[in-house]
Amino acid sequence: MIWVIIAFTISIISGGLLAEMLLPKQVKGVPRLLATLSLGSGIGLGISSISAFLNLLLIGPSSVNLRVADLGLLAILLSIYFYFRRPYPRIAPPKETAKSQSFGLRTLLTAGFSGVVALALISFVSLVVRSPHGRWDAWVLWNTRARILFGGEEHWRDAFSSLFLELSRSPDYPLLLPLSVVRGWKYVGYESTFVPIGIAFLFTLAIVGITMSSLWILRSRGQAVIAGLVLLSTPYFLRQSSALEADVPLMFFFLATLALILLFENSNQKSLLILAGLTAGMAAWTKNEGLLFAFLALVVHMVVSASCAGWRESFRRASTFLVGLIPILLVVGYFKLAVAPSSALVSNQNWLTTIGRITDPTRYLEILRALVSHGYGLGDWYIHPLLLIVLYPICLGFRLAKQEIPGAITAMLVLTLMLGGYLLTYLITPYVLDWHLSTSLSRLLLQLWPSLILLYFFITRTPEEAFEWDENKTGLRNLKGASNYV
Amino acid sequence: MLLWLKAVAGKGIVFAYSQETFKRVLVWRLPGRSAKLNYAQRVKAGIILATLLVSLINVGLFARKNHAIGFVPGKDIVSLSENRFDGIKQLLPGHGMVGYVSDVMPSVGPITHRDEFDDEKYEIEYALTQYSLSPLVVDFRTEGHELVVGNFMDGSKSQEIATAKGLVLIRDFGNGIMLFSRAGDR
Repeated sequence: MIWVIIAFTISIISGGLLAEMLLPKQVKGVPRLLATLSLGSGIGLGISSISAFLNLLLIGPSSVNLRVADLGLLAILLSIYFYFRRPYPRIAPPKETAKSQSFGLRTLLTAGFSGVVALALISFVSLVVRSPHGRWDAWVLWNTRARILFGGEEHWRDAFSSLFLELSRSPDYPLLLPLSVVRGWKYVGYESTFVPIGIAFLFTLAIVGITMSSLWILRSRGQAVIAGLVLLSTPYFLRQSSALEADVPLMFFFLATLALILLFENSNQKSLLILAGLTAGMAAWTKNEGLLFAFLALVVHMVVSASCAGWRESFRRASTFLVGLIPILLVVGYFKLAVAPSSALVSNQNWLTTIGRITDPTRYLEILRALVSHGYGLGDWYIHPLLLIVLYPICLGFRLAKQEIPGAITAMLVLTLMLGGYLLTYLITPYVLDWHLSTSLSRLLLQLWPSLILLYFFITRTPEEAFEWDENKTGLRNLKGASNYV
Repeated sequence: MLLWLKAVAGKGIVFAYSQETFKRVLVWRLPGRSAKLNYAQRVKAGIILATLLVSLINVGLFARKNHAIGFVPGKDIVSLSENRFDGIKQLLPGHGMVGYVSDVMPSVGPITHRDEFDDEKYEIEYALTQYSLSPLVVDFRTEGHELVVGNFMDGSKSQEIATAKGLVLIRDFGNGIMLFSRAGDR
């Protein structure tokens, strides 16, 4: 168990150092710590898995080499961090509105949030006790592959045997999750179920952390807590968090990329775009959907930037984004071309059948019907948050400052186009449509859910703003001073 | 409904403005004090509602889905399957490929496409075998493999199936798990 903790700690510190170096210095206090830890967990595990992959390719499957590589990377990041470390600028602590404190809103929200966190934690533990190997994809695809990569030693390429085409239908899925698991097992020395469970737990915490910290920075603490509440009380999110599948890491990287783009649009700090490129690349290293996401994040942000700041600035931003993205894409590209077999989704296609599928109106109807039912259901809601989502802006209203519009449009477009991409995949799928929809649509929608929550609470007014607005009757005001972000 | 429409119209979350007591409960005001709701209080009421709502969702989820109390760890389908394969793992090589035979076989050919493979039971049993025996790769065929793993739900059929496929039993590990070799290889 101690080795599991050591393995995760090394990853989190490595990722945390990278995030700490690239986050704007003006972000301070608890939201900074939360953002650093959340980004650090996801990015750290991603970097460690890439290091494990390169280690496997270049040196071999030795666990000693893996540990040396991990410690070497940590030492390099520590050296860079301390060499470039600058003192934080002196900024007066944020001025809290007296009204928001007097209403005891924070106490109420904190108490409610603590209760929900406790229940979510109990749910997670209960679910992993019941299914310590996770749900179907976890053991059929991800952990079977991890076991072969771990135990196969010199024969690790057996993990890409064509037999997996028969079983999982996704033999070309990238290796962030399996290699993170393998890395943990190499530290422990055996195939401990604590490792995949720990990874799932870390990514779940990181999703909640990045949602809350980015809204805390961009909006307010109250808004961050409410968004955290909505996210944690999504039944399917909780169930999926304990499924030990790759959808949770993927939704983290989607969310982190969009959060970093929103932060960039508010601060114009280009280092955030490097981080955004890195997280988009990590999404591509997690699942095939991540490749589409990385492409869309780059292109959409470029187009929106061009319309707001001109093409020259747009190319400058895109090149900064690519600094983070390209190293990861090179690894993904090598994996796809030299290691993995092709996906059945691609290899079983031909133009004639694809056109036949695209021109079949019944497929559109079936997809639409599934979209409505899965979108509405999203995992057996007890009380559907649609009610909450409708009520919230009625109470508080919407709010978006002029400089925040490009970020919001980018996020909105990326999410919409991602959904469009998913639906197009269903349209041309070589599998039986009904089966393909029923086994994956809910998970695909969930991948976008935390990002949607972030966007939603980014464009709605915060409780703090609403109270102040109500008191002063001065209409909407830019309340950046009320947050820790200047 | 009328009251709800009033709330939506922005006239306040006053579900029952003629019912003073209910209004006091909603905004947590003491008797004697004005129960008039201003905008900020409506916001507060909304937040209270939201907090209660999401808490209820979670409690509901927890109550319905999580019955871990009384659940014996290690009794899930995957752990039980791993226990079944414990014995045979000792005799199998550390890597490479073995064949697979079972009394639960796919009804239609190879399983490249879902529409050609709808035998869920076979898929589950084969996947459990593959997971339990990893890092060994389990081929779903028997042809071309020196060693073949047998996974039988009904052990009485094993001899008949093995003979038909030209397999010779090396050892029966119980629980329907058997190790075969090809007749010609012995």
